[in-house]
Amino acid sequence: MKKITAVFLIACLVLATVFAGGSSEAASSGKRKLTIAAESWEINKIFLEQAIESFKTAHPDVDVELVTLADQTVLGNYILDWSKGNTEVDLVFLDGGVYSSEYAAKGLIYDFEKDLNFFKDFPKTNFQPGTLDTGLIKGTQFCLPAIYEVYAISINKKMFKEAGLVDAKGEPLPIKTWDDFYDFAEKLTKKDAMGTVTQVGGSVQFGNNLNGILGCACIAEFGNPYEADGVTFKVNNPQMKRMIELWQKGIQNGYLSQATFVDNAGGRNGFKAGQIAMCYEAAGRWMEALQTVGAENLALMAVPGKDGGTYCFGCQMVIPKASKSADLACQFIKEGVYGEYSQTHAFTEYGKMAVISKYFKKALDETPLWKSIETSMNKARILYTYEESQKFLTGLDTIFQKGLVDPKTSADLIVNQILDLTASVRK
Amino acid sequence: MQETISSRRKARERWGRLFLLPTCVILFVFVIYPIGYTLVLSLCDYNFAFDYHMKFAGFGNFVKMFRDPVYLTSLANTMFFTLVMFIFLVVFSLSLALLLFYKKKHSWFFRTAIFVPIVVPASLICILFSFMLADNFGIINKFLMSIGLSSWTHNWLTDATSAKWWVMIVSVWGKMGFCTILFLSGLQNIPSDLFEAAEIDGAVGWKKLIYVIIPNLAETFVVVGIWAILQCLKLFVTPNVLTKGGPANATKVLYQYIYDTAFQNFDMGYASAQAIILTVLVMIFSFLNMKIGKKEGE
Repeated sequence: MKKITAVFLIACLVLATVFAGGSSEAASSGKRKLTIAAESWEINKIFLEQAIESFKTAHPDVDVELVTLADQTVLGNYILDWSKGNTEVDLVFLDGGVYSSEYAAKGLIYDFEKDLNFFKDFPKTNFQPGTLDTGLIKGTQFCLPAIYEVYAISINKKMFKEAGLVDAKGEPLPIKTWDDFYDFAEKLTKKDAMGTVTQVGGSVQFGNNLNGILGCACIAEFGNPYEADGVTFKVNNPQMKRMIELWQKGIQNGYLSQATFVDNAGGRNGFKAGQIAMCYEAAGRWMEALQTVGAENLALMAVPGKDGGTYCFGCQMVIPKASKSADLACQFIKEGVYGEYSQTHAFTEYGKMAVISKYFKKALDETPLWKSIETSMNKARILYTYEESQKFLTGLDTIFQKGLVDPKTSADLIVNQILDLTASVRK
Repeated sequence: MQETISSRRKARERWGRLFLLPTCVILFVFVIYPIGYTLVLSLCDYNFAFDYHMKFAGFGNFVKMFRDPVYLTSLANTMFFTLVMFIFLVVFSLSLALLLFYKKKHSWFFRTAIFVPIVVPASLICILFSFMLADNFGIINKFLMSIGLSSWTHNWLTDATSAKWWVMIVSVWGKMGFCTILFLSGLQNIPSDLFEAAEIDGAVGWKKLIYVIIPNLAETFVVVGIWAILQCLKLFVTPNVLTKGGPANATKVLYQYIYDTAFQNFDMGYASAQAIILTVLVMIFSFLNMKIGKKEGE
């Protein structure tokens, strides 16, 4: 009897283990399933839930699941899964093409052009000029941009007025050079009787966007951010060394905020809180401050430099080769992400610019402030994506965070460290 | 008759082995195999994102480690945090436990208050502290300015030295509750007649602490010590959320660097070698703590 009971229990255990996974609800109901993974900001600001709802209405035979990613670091888990030919997601949103380089290097994601023939019924002419380039990894369309952004300087106009940095019309004086930026930051900084800074002149993102910050400064000055090798930032020259010197002086004198050293959102939060007058980051920061600073007190300026261009990047989408629903994912991109609702609302409400031309133009007319950097936007360029991009970024952060606060570190030394770092990472 | 007994015993042993099997399988799959694989990986050059096969590198990863300035900084930070935090944790927890032990009135309130940081997720605590300590809009700086102490304001988290101390303060605050409860239960297990005898012999105040309480808490010290050492060595959440290991790696710890190496740079071989060294460190510290605890007990 004991043996029979034991055998029965073991059999139950085995059966339970075998069928634990079971068949998915979607499969049992005969529906096809599409799983999308994105960070919460992407879900909110690209209006993914609305896009999913309208997609489900149009395709009642498809069940769409949305998975929220804690942050981009969890994407590392996908590489393990995908390299074994498994995937729990069919479409992944990345906070920039930089995060796809590892997947692309190992051939784990589809080339939208050759593998998926994406542009056959969705021509490239639908896109804003240059935006598709933000999804290129070494010339291959491994990513597609959901929205795109450029870098600029968000301005608190009220603080400019108080500091006397306005023209006859009350508009902020233009920032033509990094010397202007430093001078303005000095004038905009307020200190109390004890010398404590109560209002900071400016913020430069010295955290996880430093690659873009530095690259954008090179683009603004020279047009092309790279030396002849196409991978080394054009920093070994008097103009960029001067800029680094001014950043150092700004940090050491308290005219520039250090908050981004440990908190990527430190600069933008300070700007939103009305504590920082200029914020050099993604241009959409001014829109985040609408509620707190007020539309009438906000302005936008191009990054200083002779060429006047800027860096553009996009929130990218990738489809793993392990996905069995790549066709559905493509369909969702075309109908949902590239639909009017997501594209226009992301732009008009959050400053995440539409990649589809017709919606871009429509949204631009609704938010005239963007037009103040239109010339810069038209000269926008992308940056090269290193294979070891994370390593490069971490190294860059360390070089700047150490060098900017140390009076003994020269701009020359910082530049040499950047060149050494560039040489040490896989391209 | 004897044959029947021995066959029954054998049958029972067979069943015993069968019931042990799931545990053995789980141990093998989740403990022995990963440890073995980590050892193998540590001797190989293998970047998961770019290499298709592992390449044997001997002790190359271990040599590389001691030439890598970020690793050395992380190691130094980990050692600093472990030593200082361990002392703070033990001293503060024991002090609080003694206060709770002697304070009978409203003790439930103080016990709850001390235990609360354990219930609140560590990441949430760190996010709250990062807002409080922010340079430009943090309430600590704002408060200091509002009471006329603006000269005391500081870039708490962006200055390397103060960032280190804040990582430590937040970590100790978050972990102190558990150690306090352990010490308190140890104190409650000391027989009351020991205290009475000591008091009759004239042992009061510090004397009672040194000659009665501490020797009788030897086992608790070992348990608290090992737990505290493990917590300090595997410090991760606080520096990762509060300072992201910055500024300029000033608060980066080994766990964080291992994580970055493995899951951001995908350099599995190098990360495994670092993990082995961390394991050795944990073993050394735990062994030292056990030895010291044993001596105190004797």
